[in-house]
Amino acid sequence: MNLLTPKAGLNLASNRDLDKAEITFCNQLFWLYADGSCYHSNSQTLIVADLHLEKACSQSSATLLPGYDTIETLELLGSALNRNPVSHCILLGDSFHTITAAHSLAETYKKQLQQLTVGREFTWVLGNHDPLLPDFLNGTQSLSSSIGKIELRHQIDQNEPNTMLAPPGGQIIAHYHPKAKLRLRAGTASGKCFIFDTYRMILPAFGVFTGGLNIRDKTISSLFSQPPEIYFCHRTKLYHIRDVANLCR
Amino acid sequence: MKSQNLGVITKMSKTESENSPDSSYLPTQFQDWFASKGWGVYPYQLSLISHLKEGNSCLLIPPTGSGKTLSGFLPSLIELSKQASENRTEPFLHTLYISPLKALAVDVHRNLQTPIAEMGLEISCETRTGDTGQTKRNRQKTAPPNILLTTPESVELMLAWPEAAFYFSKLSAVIIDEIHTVIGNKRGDLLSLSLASLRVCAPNAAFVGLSATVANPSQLACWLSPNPDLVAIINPKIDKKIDIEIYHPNKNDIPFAGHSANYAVGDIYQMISAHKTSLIFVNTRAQAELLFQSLWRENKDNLHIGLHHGSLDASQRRNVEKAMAEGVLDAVVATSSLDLGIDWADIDLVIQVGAAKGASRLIQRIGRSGHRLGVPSKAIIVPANRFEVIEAFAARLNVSQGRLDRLEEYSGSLDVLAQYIVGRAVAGPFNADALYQQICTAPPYSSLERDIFNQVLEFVSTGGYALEHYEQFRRIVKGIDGLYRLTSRRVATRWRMNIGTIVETTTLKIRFARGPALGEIEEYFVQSLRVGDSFVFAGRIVAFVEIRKMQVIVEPTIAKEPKVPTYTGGRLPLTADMSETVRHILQSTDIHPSLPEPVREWLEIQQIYSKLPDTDSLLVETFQRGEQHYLVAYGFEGRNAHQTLGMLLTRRMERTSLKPLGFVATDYAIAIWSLEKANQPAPLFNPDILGDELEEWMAESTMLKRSFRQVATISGLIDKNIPGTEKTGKQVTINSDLIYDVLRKYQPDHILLEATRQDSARGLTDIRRLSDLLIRFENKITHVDLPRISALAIPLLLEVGRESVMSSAVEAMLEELEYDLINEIKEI
Repeated sequence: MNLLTPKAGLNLASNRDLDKAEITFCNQLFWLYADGSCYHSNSQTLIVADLHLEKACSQSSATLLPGYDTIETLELLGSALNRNPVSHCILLGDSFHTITAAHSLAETYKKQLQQLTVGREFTWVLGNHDPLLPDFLNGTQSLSSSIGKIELRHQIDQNEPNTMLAPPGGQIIAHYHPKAKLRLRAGTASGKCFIFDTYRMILPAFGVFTGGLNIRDKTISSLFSQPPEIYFCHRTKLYHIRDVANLCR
Repeated sequence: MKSQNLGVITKMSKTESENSPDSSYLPTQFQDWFASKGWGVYPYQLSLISHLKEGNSCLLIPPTGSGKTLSGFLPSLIELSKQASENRTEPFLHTLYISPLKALAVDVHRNLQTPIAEMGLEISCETRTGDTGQTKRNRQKTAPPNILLTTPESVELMLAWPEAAFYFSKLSAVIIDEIHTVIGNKRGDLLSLSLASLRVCAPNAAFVGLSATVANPSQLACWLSPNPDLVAIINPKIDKKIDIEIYHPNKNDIPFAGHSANYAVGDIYQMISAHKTSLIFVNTRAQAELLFQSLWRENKDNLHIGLHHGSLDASQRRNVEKAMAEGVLDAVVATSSLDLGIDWADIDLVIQVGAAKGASRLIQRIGRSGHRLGVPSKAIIVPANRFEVIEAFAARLNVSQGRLDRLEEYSGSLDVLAQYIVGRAVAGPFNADALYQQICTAPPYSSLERDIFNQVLEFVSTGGYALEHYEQFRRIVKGIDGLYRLTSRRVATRWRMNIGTIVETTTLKIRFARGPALGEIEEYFVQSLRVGDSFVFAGRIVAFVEIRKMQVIVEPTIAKEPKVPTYTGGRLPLTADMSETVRHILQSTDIHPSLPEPVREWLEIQQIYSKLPDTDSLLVETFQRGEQHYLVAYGFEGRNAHQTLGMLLTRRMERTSLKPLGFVATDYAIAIWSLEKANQPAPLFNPDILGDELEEWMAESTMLKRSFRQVATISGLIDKNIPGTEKTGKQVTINSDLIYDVLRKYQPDHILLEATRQDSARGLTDIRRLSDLLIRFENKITHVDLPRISALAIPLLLEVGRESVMSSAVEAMLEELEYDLINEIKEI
């Protein structure tokens, strides 16, 4: 049977708009989008993680991925910046796949990037892939940033033995590229997702060729002390996954 | 009735074997051995021996299950035994045997041991497959056996050795078993290319193809030599009576729809009881499990019934085969896993449950019974539903008239070509012109354009992207000597890891916590299981416990309604030759009196109330049920072509505001339901739908993305998901869908996208059959508007809800997940 529409008689109007998810995290209101961006309207801040620009070009010579990822990721970033008023954009680390790639970025991409920063404050949080960024990037480079009491950094403190422990003010991190695989009535669907509990949120990777790590993997589940909330991204929409039984490996 | 069973090794009297013209070709040692077995030697075997003596390539099409494998090896055994007796055995490979199934190579190896041991021949014979250990592999490289039994993938890997030319240089014979099964698919494409390489390495080898009965043997001959006229086609005609009965229930009605044939299980059991040994063929592994369960419930006399399908553990299958050969079993329920393979014991009845979907396949299956001289092959077809009754009659008609299914014209896939070109570079530096010439000797690539070859070569060298700064990333470079070489050993390593053409399904081993492995099950099905869920597997009902170390652990259970695992690729579409005969039977009312009562009545009602489909037009019915308007078209072009038609028609209907809601496609017809009525359905079927609309749909279709994943993997753009290897926490996989989207946006003419389009045009979408249909019936649409559902449409509408949902409905299902839960919460 081939369904073209959702269940007959479904009243779509009574439900929320699936293009965006409004959530409250550490007493702050955030809007999540299916492209993986997270918007804080109070401070007009857009947070994006793991762009991994120039990833395709940084692969070994054994693979030859099409090198159109940078232009595509920058276009997506452009759309995200224009969706809502953005005065501050925080890039949460691993913005470039390698330091070399960042430093030898082609002129066209440099221009494209510079245009995006016009009239906005940019904060480049440094990640493990890009611990050092070139000076031509507009904005500031730092190890962490914040929104109110919420700490924003690329990954958790590597010296902290208790991985579940997050700062009391809350923490938003990147690095792990969370993705989920969902069991549907027929078959499965997989895609990136937002995952958070009371004190910690992990953003999905924003870059197009970034891949993902299943949130059922211990590496991710060991970062949460409570059962986390999951918002699943599929094309332009977000779906709130309330029943973890629908998640598979 | 003359019933001479040519080419079959059977018990026969001594006088007959003395009369056969064998003495000059068959050494005394072999004659004695045949005599000790009470076997005669048949003309076709001698003919093969004499052709191979001359070094001629041969295509051998013996009757099914007739010991053809031994026949294929006979010339090699004779020559090797001569060499041994003259003490001139050399450490070179003499015979290479290539089997499409790993298990078959192992079976053949075991079977060859008997003649070798009993005649005391000094011949070494070994297998080499993906399961062969490293030590043995290394040893085989330095000290090859006389006879090596292997698979297409292993051959391709061996051909990439730098010393391949030397290794294969003294090869005398290459035997390709079940060659008809590799034609028209990617595995075959790769094999055809490997054979082209082999011809260069082993200029003196004769190529021997062993095949089941096919409509056009000459099409297979070109696989064995670039000059097919030089290939001897040995096709002993059997004048054997084939007795096909079509099951006709006494009391029960024949169901309108479904594939289980549950209504006939009692009678199937009676048939088994009345015969010595029966073989029951079904089309899918799921049906095999279900039928086995139902027969077991009927089993009051404690008959010994076995189960055999491709997902069962090899040792379990081996046990069933052994028990069958020893005559211990009364019946075996089997899938196509028994279509291929070794000889069988005394089977006096073959039951085909469900339609065989093609005449060739039916003949092959029937050939499993009545191997003794003078005994007709006896088969009973048990149709599972009314359309299958008609299909069974069509199959019987085609078999009796010798109308076998044609192998379709086919051009080789480009992703396989890419894989092959890298392999050539792994083997050593190559010249592009020479390689192109060599590739063109492989039948699927005989009409490959040089420009396309260049694009594929460019892709494997640099990626073939329109990006300047990509020049630095080269896998293969052209030197000043004009030869192409690998840039790094890593490319070779990666190629070896990813070789092969099977990427689509990942399977997991299934076993009890303490106990032997039961077989393999698709990861896709496992993902749908929750702890405690019960399902049938290997003829038992088991409950899912956990996944441990990439193995599915189950425990025995007693459950009323166990699930049945899904297996992809089980259902073949109705062949083109069969669909024509089905149309013919429907339109020929003089045949109808021979049909079973319920079916005859069903067609009568259709004829009175609507119209019967015929060979000259496309019947389209419209009617209303409840709030919805239905449109049914009887295309008879197979499920895949109908799926595509459904997709295209619903898009067209959407555009004309008919508000389509869904559709269902079967082998015979499609039904679309909509909120508005299609008053003029004929224009919907205009062949121009195959233009822009098809392009548009293909581009958006998830089917194309699925094809792209396969193409990207085979061509070496992304790594294969190797089953059984656990993903590490750090490992991230790039979704091939994203690569597809980006490539489509920035370089729509990239060669991999072209490869993807070509692939989906034949496989899942079967566009060629669809376009044949629409063009043939342009302006020949018979539209019948009905006040209510027609008789023929009933089976179709009963399929609604049974067919699985297409992946295009993922959004809809995600929303269900979202909304169902909201509703649940509201209820609380």
